[in-house]
Amino acid sequence: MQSSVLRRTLLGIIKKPSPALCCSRRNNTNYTIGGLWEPEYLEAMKSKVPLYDTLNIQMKGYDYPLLESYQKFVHTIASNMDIDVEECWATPPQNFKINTFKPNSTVVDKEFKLSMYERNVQIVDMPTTLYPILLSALSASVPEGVTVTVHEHDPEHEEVRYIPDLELKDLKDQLTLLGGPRVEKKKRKK
Amino acid sequence: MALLKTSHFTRILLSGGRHAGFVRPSAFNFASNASEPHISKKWDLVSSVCVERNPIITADLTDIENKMQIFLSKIELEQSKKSDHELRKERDKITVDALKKGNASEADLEQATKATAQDFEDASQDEFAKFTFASRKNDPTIDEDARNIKRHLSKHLVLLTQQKVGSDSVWLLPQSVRKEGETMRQTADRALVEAVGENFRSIVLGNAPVGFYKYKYPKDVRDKRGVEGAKVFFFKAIYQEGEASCKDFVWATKEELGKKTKQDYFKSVDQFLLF
Repeated sequence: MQSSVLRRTLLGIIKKPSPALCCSRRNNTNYTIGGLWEPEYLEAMKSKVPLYDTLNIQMKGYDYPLLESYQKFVHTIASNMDIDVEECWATPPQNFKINTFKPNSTVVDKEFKLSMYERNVQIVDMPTTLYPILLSALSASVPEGVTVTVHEHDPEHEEVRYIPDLELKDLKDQLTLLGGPRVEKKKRKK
Repeated sequence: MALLKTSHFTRILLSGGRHAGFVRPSAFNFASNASEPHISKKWDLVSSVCVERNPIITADLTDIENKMQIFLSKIELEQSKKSDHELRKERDKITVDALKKGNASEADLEQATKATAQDFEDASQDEFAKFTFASRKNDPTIDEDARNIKRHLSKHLVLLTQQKVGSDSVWLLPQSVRKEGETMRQTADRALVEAVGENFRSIVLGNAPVGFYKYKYPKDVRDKRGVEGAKVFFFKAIYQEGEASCKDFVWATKEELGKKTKQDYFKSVDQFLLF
């Protein structure tokens, strides 16, 4: 009798989930998060606030040293706010050639060569409650001549960074002209 | 068994994300002492918008900063390498000297007839001299005109409106009381439109408030309406463009904000201002 009672209580201790795992609005239910044997810290580690997946802060400007120091500043702000800065990169500048003409003629008066430089800072897993604070800090500190845009990361933003291999592209185009790649039958191994 | 009822106020706070303040659950019944239920205190929920105009120009450098800037630029100049233009200028100078001495070849003569680097530099300098920069210093009249958006170009400005609170008109950030079925963010948008009209464009940042202020109504209002007071939740907005079509409004610097508003109200607002 005693041993069976002891066995029942022991089993009860082992199988009954700890109070911390029981999360329900109805006090009767006994369901557990994740499963009976999943550790509690997996749920505890998840953020209580919704997160933004990946955001790119893009800075563009004509003045190169100013832009660089502003990118450094943005990185400092973000890391001080405990935001995960995943990556920072630069894309090649856009070069502009601006011609002014003499009045009522096509003779070039002046020629200006300008380059629009670009810097990007990528932020990962940013809490949505922290984002407005970062935005207000950024907008308050933008230097002269720099435009800042924040957008979600797209695969195109990744593609822009790579220099296209023109030779490879040329060969591929030739191949398509010739009728596509040759499909080989798989040889069976006996 | 004790019943715990959470008020609808706490539900709003939890959905916003950042807890702006402590709100007691409104009813807590003990079955044993259930002679009279605890009277729940009602509070008016108010949304307020802090519209900020960011500085248009950088602040003036102090004396030390100026001296440091000059010093650093001298160092940078001494350590820098020569640009294409400077090299070209030197080469042209050599050919000109050679021409004068009579040692020049035909190629040098050809080169000399083209526009030299010096000519290019002179032309550029003339161009630069003709260009007029916009002045960094305002007319003192513009700075003194509190309704002008262009005052104090290097400072942060905040929009203050004069509103009737009870019997007296008070200077505070545009606010309005929450109506039934609205979220706090919708109330904030409505407050802004009511205060400054449709032409005013600004971006309200986020759905969560950034600040909190609580005040109690005078005793007669409390007894008449049955409401303890008002709880004000501040939302931050950045001014984009447009005119404020309002009778009494002011673009205030931080000092002016401190002077015009009540002490404890300013203390709550100061908590979330970044300047």
